[in-house]
Amino acid sequence: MKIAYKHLIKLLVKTPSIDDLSKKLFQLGHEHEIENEIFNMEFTPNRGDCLSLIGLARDLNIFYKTNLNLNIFKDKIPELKLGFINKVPEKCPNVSFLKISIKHKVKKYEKYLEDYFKDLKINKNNFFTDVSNYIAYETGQPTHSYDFDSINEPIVLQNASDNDSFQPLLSKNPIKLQENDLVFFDQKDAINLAGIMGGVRTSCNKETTNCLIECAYFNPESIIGKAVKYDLHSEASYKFERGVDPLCHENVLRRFIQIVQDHTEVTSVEIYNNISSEFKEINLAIDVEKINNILGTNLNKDEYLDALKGLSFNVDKSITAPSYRSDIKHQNDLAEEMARVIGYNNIEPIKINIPKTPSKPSISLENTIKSILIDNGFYEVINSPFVSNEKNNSISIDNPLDSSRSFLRTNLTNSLINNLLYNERRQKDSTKLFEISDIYSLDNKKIQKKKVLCIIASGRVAKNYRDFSKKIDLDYMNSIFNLSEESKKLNFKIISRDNLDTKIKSAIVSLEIDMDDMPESINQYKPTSVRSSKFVQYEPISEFPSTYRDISYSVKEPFKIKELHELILSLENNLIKDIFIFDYFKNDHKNEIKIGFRLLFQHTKRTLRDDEIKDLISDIVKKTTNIKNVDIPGLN
Amino acid sequence: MSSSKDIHLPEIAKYLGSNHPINNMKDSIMNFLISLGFETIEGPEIETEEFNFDMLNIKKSHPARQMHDTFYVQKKENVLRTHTSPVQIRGMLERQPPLALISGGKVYRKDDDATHLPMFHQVEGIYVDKNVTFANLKDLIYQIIYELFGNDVELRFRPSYFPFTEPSAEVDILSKDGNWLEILGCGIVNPVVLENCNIDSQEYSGLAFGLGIERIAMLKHGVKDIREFYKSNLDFLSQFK
Repeated sequence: MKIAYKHLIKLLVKTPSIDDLSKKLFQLGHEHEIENEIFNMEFTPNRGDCLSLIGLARDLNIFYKTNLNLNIFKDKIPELKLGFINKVPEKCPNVSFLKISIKHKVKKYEKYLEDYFKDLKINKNNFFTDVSNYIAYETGQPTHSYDFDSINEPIVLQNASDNDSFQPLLSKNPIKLQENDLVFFDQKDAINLAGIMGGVRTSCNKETTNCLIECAYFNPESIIGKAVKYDLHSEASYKFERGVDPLCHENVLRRFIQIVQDHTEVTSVEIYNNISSEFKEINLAIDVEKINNILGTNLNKDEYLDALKGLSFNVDKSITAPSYRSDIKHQNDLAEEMARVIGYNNIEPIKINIPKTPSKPSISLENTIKSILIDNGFYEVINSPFVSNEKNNSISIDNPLDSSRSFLRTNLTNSLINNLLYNERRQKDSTKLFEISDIYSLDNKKIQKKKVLCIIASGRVAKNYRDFSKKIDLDYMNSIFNLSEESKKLNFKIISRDNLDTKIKSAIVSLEIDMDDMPESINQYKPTSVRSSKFVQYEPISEFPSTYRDISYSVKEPFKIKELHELILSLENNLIKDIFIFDYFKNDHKNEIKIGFRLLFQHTKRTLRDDEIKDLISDIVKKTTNIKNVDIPGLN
Repeated sequence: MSSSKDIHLPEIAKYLGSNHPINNMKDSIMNFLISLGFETIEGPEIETEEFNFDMLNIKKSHPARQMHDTFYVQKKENVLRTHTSPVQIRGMLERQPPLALISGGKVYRKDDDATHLPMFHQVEGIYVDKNVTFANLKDLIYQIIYELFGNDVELRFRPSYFPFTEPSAEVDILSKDGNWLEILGCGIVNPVVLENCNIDSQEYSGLAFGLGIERIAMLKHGVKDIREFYKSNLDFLSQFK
């Protein structure tokens, strides 16, 4: 909600700077951004009472004295004879109607009213709607202005029936109401979707001289969700959803009359009140000890009670919150009030001592499995559980994001096949992945949960000269888990590529197994890798294709290998993504070593051109063949 | 070929894999909390509305319960848990205080953009004992934030609102570029929640906190788009060894 700094300070006795005010608002828990001296406030949902100039000023009273006595109409208001039936008092315990009649001509808007539209860049409408909008900004109470002469009494507040039609003010087409929508009807049809938006037929216009102003309290439960359901977001619905002051109606309507009087001659005012149940206030014990026990502070009773009084709480034999503070229900709420007044940041931390329960060190099977896989070059993935395909035991989502995500997956293998193909499309020739996740399915209408491990691998065993030409197959996978008689029996399978969208031929080996079926004997495994605890800074990855070049050397003096290797590893170029030895062969008879390096190139912002790589390679070749007895066979 | 050892043989490069960075982050936070005395508990990702909402004092009228925020399953019979808090409820029902419980795992909300995903990870903790105060909560939060971001990080507590804690706070840290970044939510357990779990709120009080793992991992690793974590791209995953 937008609140102008210059409007707010008019209600404060002292004038704080905007920065000072901003700091205090944060201390009170009112997040905001400031733009051109306008506070764009983000109130927590329990503080609907702050959604207005007066509401926010009231909360600031503890720091800056406020003056909230605005001019109101003070004369006695005669009773209005109105045909009105409230069929749902539990949803609307309290509603008032004010009929106000004016001489047609309305003066130029007074400065306070004009400023509201100008400073907050709000479009004007007609006079009564404008006053209604301003009143909501000033007091927090939404009102609805009907053109009295367009209404066919009696007005009935009731639940709609399915398919009742209603044409809201700010909607192109009529909406179809649903059962349980709270709606005002007149003799003809629906005139107001209560708390959300009024209808076109009975709305005020520039010619309206007899206006009926509705001022109500609706239970938030009866309003919530409707604005979203019909896409009819309004200031009013936002306020009603968060709860408004049930006892403010008379004051708000008197203020309404005053503002109208400021602009034109009022010929008559009449009021109709429908009160089905009285507001019940909550009394809380004065217990500063309890507050100190909750916060860990040493407040004395006087400073505690002064703070509450500053927030307009009534302090007598007990503590009573003002009627607009529907969020105050028990002592912890009072503790929060006190913490806000002190400032959360000013409460000193006190050492916490959690009693230590003796825990037995246990080797978790899950961690051991992860170690085995990581030591062998496997990466853990986490996939979304949402899938489009249904099996008869799938759990369905009632309100999916879209139809491609309307069920929960019943296996992990399909997710990992997609991960594999995704990486193969990015020129990865060795992909080893695993995932451990709970999966859910239905068994006789009962939800079954199981923790599942899935492993998938395809391509080269590893990017070193020993394993480079070896392809991942069943033997390789079994060798990883060659730990015990049971672990040898893991049922790795080959997945056919026939139905997959890929041209790559290497075998896909996979395993999907319930974690409960993994043999405990796997825990014999001794991890070889040490996990680093430092946090790496991530470098954005390139979406452009990578390409590789191989350089094969003949080294006649074996000890030059080291020099060559170090030289190549020291090559620094943004385009080189990876370098590894893919081939190594020692010919003892000739005293010659053949060594092959594979270099991977990729640009972060575009596809690399052949000539760029060629230039790079010839530079590397020049540097490396400068080493004595290091040659590239076949190179001129 | 000679069988003598080739002293020039280059080392065979060991290509290690790695845990997923989100699980790494989650594990390191949980291990720290375990070292403080917290006990790990687990719970289902498919929850009843009772455990996910009612027991946590989240009323029917609360926005979180609307169809646009929460995934409902099996004709509104259950929900995908929107937080790991229901696990604490289950933990409290099975135990007597003093208790210090943490749970971590996947949670689901109906969002999908560069900073929000329909599935993400949380770690939440609760500590219930005699005389647990907001000042104790502050001490614990300082310890957690210092562990994550170092002892020289500046942090602030802001009043906030969660139905299951009162008072409630959100905690921000000051980033290097001078912006406050929200890191976690916490508070004193609402006595209504304790009573729901058959714990006498006159005798016991509690503190609770919850962290979004992706957000912290994004900050620590400098990942700008949350979706990167779940593309399973080896170029991405291989950076987090």
